Amino acid sequence: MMRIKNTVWALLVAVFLLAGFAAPAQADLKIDVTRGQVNPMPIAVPDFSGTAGADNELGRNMVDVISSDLNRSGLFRTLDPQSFIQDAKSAQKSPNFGEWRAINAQALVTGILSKTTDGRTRVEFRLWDVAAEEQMIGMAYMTTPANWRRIAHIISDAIYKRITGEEGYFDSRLVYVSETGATTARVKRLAIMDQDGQNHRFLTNGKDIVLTPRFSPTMQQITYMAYYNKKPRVYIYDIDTGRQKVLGDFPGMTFAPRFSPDGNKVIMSLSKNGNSDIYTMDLHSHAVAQVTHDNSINTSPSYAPDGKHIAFESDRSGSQQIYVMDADGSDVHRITFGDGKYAGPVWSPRGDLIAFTRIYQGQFYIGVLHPDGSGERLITQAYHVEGPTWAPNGRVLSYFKEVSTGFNKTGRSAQLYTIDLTGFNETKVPTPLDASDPAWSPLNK
Amino acid sequence: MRRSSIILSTVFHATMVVIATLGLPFLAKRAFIIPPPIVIDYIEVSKVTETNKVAPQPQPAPPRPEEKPPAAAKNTANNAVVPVPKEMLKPEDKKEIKKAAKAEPAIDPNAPPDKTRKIKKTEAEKKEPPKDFSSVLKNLIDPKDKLSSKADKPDAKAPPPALGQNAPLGAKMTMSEEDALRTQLEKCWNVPFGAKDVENMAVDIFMVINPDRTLREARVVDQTRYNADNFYRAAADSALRAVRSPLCSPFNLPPDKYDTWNRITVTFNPKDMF
Repeated sequence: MMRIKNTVWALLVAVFLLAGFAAPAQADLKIDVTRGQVNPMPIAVPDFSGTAGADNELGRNMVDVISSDLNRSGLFRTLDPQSFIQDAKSAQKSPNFGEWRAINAQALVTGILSKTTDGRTRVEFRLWDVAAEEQMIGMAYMTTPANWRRIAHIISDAIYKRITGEEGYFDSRLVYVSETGATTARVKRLAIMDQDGQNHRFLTNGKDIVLTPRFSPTMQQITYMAYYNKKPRVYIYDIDTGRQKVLGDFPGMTFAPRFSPDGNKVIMSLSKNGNSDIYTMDLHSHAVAQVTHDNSINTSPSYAPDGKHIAFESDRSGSQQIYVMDADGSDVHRITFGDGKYAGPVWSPRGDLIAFTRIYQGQFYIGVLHPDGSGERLITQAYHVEGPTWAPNGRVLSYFKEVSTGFNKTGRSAQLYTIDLTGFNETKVPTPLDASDPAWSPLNK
Repeated sequence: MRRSSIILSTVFHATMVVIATLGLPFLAKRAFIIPPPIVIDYIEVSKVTETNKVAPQPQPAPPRPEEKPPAAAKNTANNAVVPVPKEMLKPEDKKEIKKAAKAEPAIDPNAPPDKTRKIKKTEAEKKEPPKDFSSVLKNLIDPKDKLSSKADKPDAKAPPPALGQNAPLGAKMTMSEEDALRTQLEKCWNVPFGAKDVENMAVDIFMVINPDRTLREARVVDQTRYNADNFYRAAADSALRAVRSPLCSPFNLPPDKYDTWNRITVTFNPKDMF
């Protein structure tokens, strides 16, 4: 009996020992991958087709807009339809993933258009992960056929969001200052267009100089500076009604306006007696509050997206630099220390970066840095480049670049551009005339 | 005697079962979470951008007119023009404009150059698409950082390390063998660069690999976060695409060490790229 017990114990010990030795054999191998590629993702967007001929035409147009959106973002590369093995119609029913893998597509977008009983158009699209052979998203939109361009942007946004994890920005607009005429007598008009330059229209007639338009984050309103009684004044313009009104009745000049993130206040500079300070004005109660109390120039305020901090520029240290303070004006600290001048800080809607203009060795740069002043990067440069504005997702910047023109280089031509915050993929935004001071809208609702 | 035989037999069988379960990888199957089927959302989209008005409007907002594609300047007269207050000055008032420009953030483009630093930037550098880590985030005036990070970059063209033909079965992977797999996966991973906090985003992918070095299954270890966090899901999807990429099949692994690499957890973290 004793012998049996001993044997059992010995076996049990052996089991544990063996288990101990066996464990390392089945432990997972661990590998750290800390680098990768930064190529745009190859994506296939075959034509959306419909039941009627008109739908097919609409489907092709939508695919053009979606492809153009995705390519312009710099994060995607749409594949040439000539290379497609599977045709669009059969891909809509059931994608043959092997055939899409064969042309190196990592994602596939399919779509079908149909008419609803009440005459509207139904656009259904699906985004497929080719490697995993599964659907990533599927959506159907119902709208009037005239709205096809907007639906295409919304689909682009959905694709962008699912693949990058960030909100898209394609269904948004840009307001800017359209310029024409000689350098000494420029006619400046407010104009608005889709972010890709389509659906362009003018908002003001050009009789008055308008500058620095800024979009409200919550409403279809723009605040901007115009001239009134020989003084620059801050105005609010309602896009839906076309009405504009001067903001407040201040003794000096008001300029550099910008909305607060909740859209309830406008923050701006007020200049009097050769000194400028930052003020806020509540749009409902019209209560005015002074934020900075300083004897130097304080201007270009921009709220953080949480509304708790404000970035602004000031020459209080002797040179033009960017500062950050609490929303009540306390805890002012300088965040830029580089050579040259820093101007026009704009806090990203994502909150992680502040864009700015830097003048350094006679050249203008657009740069970004973290709100604590770290990680400054200059991402584009020109003789004159200024006025950065963030796309609603905080991923892309728009700004204007001015170049000399004419025989004597006395003329000026300004155009709008967009750039990825990584500093790559600078793209011109088409405008009918010269363009400056862009302001990106929030996503359309 | 018979009883002792039964006990011995039972213990011996139990031993075998325990060894088999712990020692052989595929008997201990892990729970695999099947993602829920994706439904199609139906969304009504209006032609006109709707606004949530805070202040009451005296008149209902007129619908946005049918917009025309950008036309030449001649057509602009047809476009909607808004009323402007009469009191507003005309653009001819140049003196006042100049005066105001002083107070504006705009800066003189002819400002004297600051010669304390040199800017090195060529057109080629400007237009070249990003290719490696060091250039993921462009910075026009800090070439030093670029040089140092390029020096750190492993040589992608280095020959694959020896596969350890004479190594005993189940021996550990050598560092160069691990590097071979790492280098291969780096080529297949398209980093979601530019995303917020992507440099701090680490995604663990658990892979089970067939003896022929092809992928049997791959899944994201942190399924909870995958389902809850869009950023994480996008980063994890990019990692999954890397391990499923045809370019990374079969994996660069030593065929005679299957026991070592049949289950791999790969951590994808682009921290070295920033």
